[in-house]
Amino acid sequence: MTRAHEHLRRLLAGGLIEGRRPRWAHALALLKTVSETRSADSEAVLREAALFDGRLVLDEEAGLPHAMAPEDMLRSLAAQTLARWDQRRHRDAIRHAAGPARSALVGRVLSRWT
Amino acid sequence: MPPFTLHSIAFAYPGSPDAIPLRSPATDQLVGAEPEWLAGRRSAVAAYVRGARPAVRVVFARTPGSSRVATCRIGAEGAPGIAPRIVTLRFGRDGLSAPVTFRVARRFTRRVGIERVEWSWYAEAAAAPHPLGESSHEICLVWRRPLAAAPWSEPAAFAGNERWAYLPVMQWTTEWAAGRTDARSICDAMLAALPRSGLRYAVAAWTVRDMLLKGGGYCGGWYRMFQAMAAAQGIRLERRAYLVNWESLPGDRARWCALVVTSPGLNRSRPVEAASRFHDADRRPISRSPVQSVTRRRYRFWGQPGQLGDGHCINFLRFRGRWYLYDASFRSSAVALSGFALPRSNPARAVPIRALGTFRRDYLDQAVDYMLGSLAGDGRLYETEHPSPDQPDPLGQQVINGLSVETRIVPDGGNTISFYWV
Repeated sequence: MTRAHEHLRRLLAGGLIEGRRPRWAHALALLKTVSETRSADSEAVLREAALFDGRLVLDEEAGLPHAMAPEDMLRSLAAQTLARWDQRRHRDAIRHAAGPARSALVGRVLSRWT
Repeated sequence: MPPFTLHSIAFAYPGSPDAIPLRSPATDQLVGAEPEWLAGRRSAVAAYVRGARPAVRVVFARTPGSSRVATCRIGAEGAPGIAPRIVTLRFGRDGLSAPVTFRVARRFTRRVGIERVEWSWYAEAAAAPHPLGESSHEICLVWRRPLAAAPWSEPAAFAGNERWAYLPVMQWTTEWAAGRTDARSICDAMLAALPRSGLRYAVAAWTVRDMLLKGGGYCGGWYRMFQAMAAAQGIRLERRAYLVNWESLPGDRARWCALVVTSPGLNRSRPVEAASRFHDADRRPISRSPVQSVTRRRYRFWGQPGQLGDGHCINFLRFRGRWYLYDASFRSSAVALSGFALPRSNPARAVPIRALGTFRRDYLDQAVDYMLGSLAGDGRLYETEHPSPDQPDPLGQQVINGLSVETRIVPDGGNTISFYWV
């Protein structure tokens, strides 16, 4: 498990990373790094992200996503990578991320895989 | 002393065919769950379509010592008042009558706006009329029956009660739209008056209710909010997000990584996002443009390589064969578009902006100041780099912005700028 995996798990657990609130840009960097190489560890942590039901603790002053809440964006990006890697295997996580109880925008982004 | 007095008046009572259900953002409960007017305690807003002649349900309270049954003619003076009718009131052990239905004496005005009505209630038996009390009410008269809330109220839905509005949304929009007579002029008036709501851009909220509770939101909330405002007046607006299309190009280049907006947004004096170092290019050809490096507060709407990430969210009105763009987050007037057709929601194919009529010229070039990419300028590559988790102290690192190219100088040809529309 790399540092990116570890930090992404800590982000999902709502904890500080190295004693600080992560910025949204860091969350994006973690997702990007974890999504670059397919591995069992990457699939596992991205599934956790796509199935995430909590609230992220972020440094809001540093900027947040504009079109959707950070939690929705996190689920959306994780689900897009999982869909690219193995849509059938991760259908449950993709559907969870796109589900009707969530943002309609995420539902539309993921509509090609649901 | 009169044998009974006014106790309560219900406008949006269950089964009322005319009243528009209003919901309190604080509780998410219907305002009409209890009578809107309670003597000495409550006077809540009611809403109808302009020109309505609704019925209300009134409860009377028996004066101690008086008869448990009373037959008389009851009505109310006002403009418009309450049409009098002969009723028999039977008071229960709690001293209250069963609700009695009365109709407003004549139609409310057909003008959109807020009416404040005063009713002077009276009862006439064999003897002279005697007063029952005064009531005053704020009535929102909307342009048309509100649309179903489902498109903007997700993810919460209220089964069996599809058409409703949040109370402040109803009050704001009815006041702002006062005297307007068509969908476009109403939407224009609402957009211009948005600052009066006190709601701001860049508050961590993306749903209408959250925005009302927190005092603002990001564009993903604002395009819902503006849709909800139009829907409260019976106007259908479309909403679309145009998302960054981050294409990786040879040689570590990428086009585009983010939208960059310098406008502070609604009711803000400066962008909320912390300052970062930008490298601005403002001349063609971009690769040879002088680059000015500045540290500024600007909003960055980040894409993600090969994925659908962030972008901007706006509304559209189709009016008399033409599309009008409403950007509630950053603009106070609508943009009339020519040669434009609303892109269908399609997460699989990015649409080049040259296919969107005057969208670029009349809107994008002004609204989105810069397109940020990993591109060459002034003889070197300006590469966007997010802080690597493997660096020492990654959380202490800033994102390194690539080249911020003034949107207006990005060449028109090819697919130089394209967005995913969803």
